[in-house]
Amino acid sequence: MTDQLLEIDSLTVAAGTKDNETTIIEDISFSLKTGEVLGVVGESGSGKTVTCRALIRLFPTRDMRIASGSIRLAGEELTTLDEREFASVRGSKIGMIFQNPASHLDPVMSIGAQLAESLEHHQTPRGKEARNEARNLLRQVGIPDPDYRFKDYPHQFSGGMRQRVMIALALACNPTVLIADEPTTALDVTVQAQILRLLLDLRDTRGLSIILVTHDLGIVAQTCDSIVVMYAGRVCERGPKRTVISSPSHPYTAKLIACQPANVVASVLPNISGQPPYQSEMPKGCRFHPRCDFAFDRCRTEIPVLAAISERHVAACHLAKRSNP
Amino acid sequence: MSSITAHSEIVRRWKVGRLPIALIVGLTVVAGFALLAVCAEFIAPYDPIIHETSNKLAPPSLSHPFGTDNFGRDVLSRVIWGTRIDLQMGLLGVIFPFMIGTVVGAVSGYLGRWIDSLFMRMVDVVVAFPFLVLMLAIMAILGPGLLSFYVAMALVGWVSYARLIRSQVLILKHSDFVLAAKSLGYSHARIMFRHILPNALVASIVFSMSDVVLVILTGSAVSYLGLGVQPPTAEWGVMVAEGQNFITTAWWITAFPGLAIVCLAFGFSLIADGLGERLGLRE
Repeated sequence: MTDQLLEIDSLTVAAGTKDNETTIIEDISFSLKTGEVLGVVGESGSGKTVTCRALIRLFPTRDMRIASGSIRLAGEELTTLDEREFASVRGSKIGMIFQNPASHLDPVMSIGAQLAESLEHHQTPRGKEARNEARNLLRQVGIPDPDYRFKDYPHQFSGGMRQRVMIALALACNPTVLIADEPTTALDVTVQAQILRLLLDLRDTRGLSIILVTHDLGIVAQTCDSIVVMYAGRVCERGPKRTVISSPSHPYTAKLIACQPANVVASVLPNISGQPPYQSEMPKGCRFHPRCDFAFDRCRTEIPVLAAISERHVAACHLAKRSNP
Repeated sequence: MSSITAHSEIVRRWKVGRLPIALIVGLTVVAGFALLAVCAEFIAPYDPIIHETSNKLAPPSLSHPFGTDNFGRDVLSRVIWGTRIDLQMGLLGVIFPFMIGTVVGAVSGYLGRWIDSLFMRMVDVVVAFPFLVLMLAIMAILGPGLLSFYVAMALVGWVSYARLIRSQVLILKHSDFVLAAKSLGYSHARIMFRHILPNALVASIVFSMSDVVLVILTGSAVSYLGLGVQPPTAEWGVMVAEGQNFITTAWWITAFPGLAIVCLAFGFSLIADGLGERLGLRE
């Protein structure tokens, strides 16, 4: 297991006071190799974003905290670090890019100044050297005419260009892991493909490991090496991309795949009936059972554990069977 | 490609160049007063302090366009010299409260918790007193003079800036770009002063321009009441105070410095208006 760069082991994030605690995500485990692209898939509210935020310890609300579990980066345990120690992880070891690049860039600072600031903060170059390095970064992420755009402000860039700038900002810290939280959701389909291409290029040139959070299975199929499928704050299936997509072992994954427009022959798009459960009304047993076609008595009472289907493929379903090789 | 970028450059410059009329007029008025203040020695036709007793209370004429006062001093020269004091009062009387209020507001809004409660209760205490009464009380303790005016202004005036900045910081600290800055591992101080504060300043810069008006009027008021600038120094408020005994017989002694106060205040109000419009457009 030592070849794993990032290992997340039964991570649980809770919110609320001690007396009135709710768990937001529960028992999340997955790992990431150097140079691997991992897709985290799930509906809105399935806990994808909270999982990512837990990795850099910037929760959406103040009362959220890691209740149990461990996060190890290159063998170093991150959950026990105090705030001061953790600041050195943020950015310089784990970088993050966000869904909406328009609002995640400082509107009153030029792109060049923001990049130079990030470079100076994490690496050695100062002043002119940092500015030159910033221009190089802009070139690397595919901003045309970086010398000219250097002094421009975020509002002068298009959506795709802003996302490129944000990637450059994250790269300025030279992280080993890049978390991309729905990086292409706010972009055109054509721009989407360019940004994903850029991320893959960066993986190849810099040996970057990427966690790609998305609700679009199509993106995962194009870019990722492995998949984690989340539902209602739990992992329901995890494995290599090819295996999970070609032979899903969890009914939820199967339905997600069936809902992809590319896989649909009929004129009506199928959907998964029902709604994801509310935080306060989590169903007992398997959290997916109210929407599952195959649910039986055991699903209503017993929480299924992640069971191995094949060597690297696990699913949390009572019906999932170990395939015989 | 290059023709496209050249074109967009022109468009950009043109938009920047199109300033609101209020801003242009306001800046012109204030710049005119600033010129008077800087070049008072060369522009003023007479000495503002030396008495010319043979020519007391002379009405406006060619040799004394604004007339003379009860000591025979040229009112025009005194108004010009007064510009220096009043402009300085307006600017310094705003800068100190601005700086104090900005730091307090930023720290209070960003850190929150007990620090926020502490500062905001201090603000409540200051706001609980009528503005001018508190000013006069502090100046009465410190003794009359310009310095005590600035100190009193700083002690009383910071509250508006603190509240304004705090409210902006409270909004901005939950904004996405602050989250992104945190994800880059920046320290609290860096996030607060380099990312949040520049974004939060817009509103208080606009406010400070209209505050200059208030401060000049306050300065004139305390001088009028005998606590600010002392005679025989030429200051508009003092001049109005000195001239009030003669208002039925020599209206020019009070009218012209009063008019100067109104003009300068009007100039700053226009700047505030124009800036608000200009900066509001960017949102």
